[in-house]
Amino acid sequence: MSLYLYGLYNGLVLGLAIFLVSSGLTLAFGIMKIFNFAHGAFFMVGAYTAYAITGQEASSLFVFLGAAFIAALLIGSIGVLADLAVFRRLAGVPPEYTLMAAFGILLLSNGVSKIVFGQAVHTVYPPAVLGDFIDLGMPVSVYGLFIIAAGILVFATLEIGLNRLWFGKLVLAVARDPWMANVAGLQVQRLKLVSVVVSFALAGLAGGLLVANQALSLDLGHSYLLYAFCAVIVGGLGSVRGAFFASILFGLAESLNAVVLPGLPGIATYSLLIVLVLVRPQGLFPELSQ
Amino acid sequence: MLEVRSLDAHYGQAHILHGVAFALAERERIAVLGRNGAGKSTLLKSLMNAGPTVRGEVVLDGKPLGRTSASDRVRLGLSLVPEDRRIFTHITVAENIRLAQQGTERKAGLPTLAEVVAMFPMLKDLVTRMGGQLSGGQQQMLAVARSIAARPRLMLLDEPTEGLAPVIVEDMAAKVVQACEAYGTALVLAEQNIWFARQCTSRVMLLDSGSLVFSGSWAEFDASGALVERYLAV
Repeated sequence: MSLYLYGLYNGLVLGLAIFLVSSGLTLAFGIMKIFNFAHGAFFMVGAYTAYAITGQEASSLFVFLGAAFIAALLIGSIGVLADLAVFRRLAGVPPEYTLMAAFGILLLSNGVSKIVFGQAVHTVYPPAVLGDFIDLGMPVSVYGLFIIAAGILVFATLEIGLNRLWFGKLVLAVARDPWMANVAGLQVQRLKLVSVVVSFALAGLAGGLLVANQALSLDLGHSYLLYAFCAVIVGGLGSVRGAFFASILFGLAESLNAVVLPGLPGIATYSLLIVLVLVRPQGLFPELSQ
Repeated sequence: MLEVRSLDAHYGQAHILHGVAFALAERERIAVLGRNGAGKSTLLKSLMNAGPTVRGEVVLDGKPLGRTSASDRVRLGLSLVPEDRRIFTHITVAENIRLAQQGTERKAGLPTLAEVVAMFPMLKDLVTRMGGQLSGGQQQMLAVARSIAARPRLMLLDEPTEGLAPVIVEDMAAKVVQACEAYGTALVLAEQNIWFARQCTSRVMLLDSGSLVFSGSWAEFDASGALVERYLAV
């Protein structure tokens, strides 16, 4: 029994970790209408940035969080450059071009990261306060609980920001109907830029928060990006709420898969993807996908 | 106030408008009639710089607008009510109005929500309803109210009667005239409903295959009976 409970807990941790990555990805799709292939690379750069600040183990929770925020700021600034230099110029062209541009940014980021960070694999530990286990009937890692809390906090912030705050409603107006937003006089480019910055910053933040307990290498982005793409598609392209629930579904599927069918890794994840896409091709929350 | 000189408009390779020219005085209301595909919507979008590639001149108060963006044209006092309404469905009626007022970037001189609702009583009980929960007629009324709430100097109104019940069309005509007179707003109205166009405007232009084939008063329009037969009959 405890094995299944443990599977559920691990699934939740993995699910919220996936959401930390997919939240920025789905936001980028919702506003810019592109799949930002470079998202995984910026997640990885965010993780390296945090590592560069904290070293192998952050001296305190404050330093750990501070490093993650600095990573978010740095990647958000790169978002400004990416928008001004690439995405804005491609507005109005067929989406394939933007996809290729995002892929180009991915290759560029990977190349630059190889030069800057080298190819060594680093081990990073959470700060001591998050490194413990507590007994909730079973030993539960505090870092896992932290990831769950961080994921829920990011979700709540985005939900409130987009659906309750006036600024968020304007951003959604641009996402849903950029033509009318422009004709109504809104500063569409400025609102898009803010969204791009938030989307990129989320990649950096996710990198900074998830860097611990991982093998930090240039391939770090790949581990989460595939799940994140699955979550964005299944959740409903552009929907933060959809990405949240789909991320948790995939986290649980992957984790319980390891408990129930350890000989067939990944089978539950891909089966879930196929079934959900067949049953609900528009996604769980299709509000932004038109 | 507005002068349009040899205006050509293209969508990709398609040449839609051919040398359209007309002038509009302050507070003047003019109708643009024509069959489907004559170029009425393209003309309004060209004046707003909201879609077609445009050549020729659109001059406002003696200044050519050139490549001025649609959002900047809003701040110069233009407002387009598109044919398909384009109400934002994720926000309420009141928020749709607030959004349009924000687009003008003006702080003073805009009507309050209560004043807008007083002018468009159909919206009275709907202010907290989401845009996506309105009927077609309610959405159309909101689209006009949203435009008027920005207190434009010139409203570009594209086929507001399409798909509306006759009783709403009558109400709409009265509201458009009332709102334009209250705020001194000039109007370019693209329409196929001649009755509605006549109620709202004092002058009429006729577009056929992207060219202006008539421009004059409604009396002159009525006097040339063949016009309706030749250019508007299906």
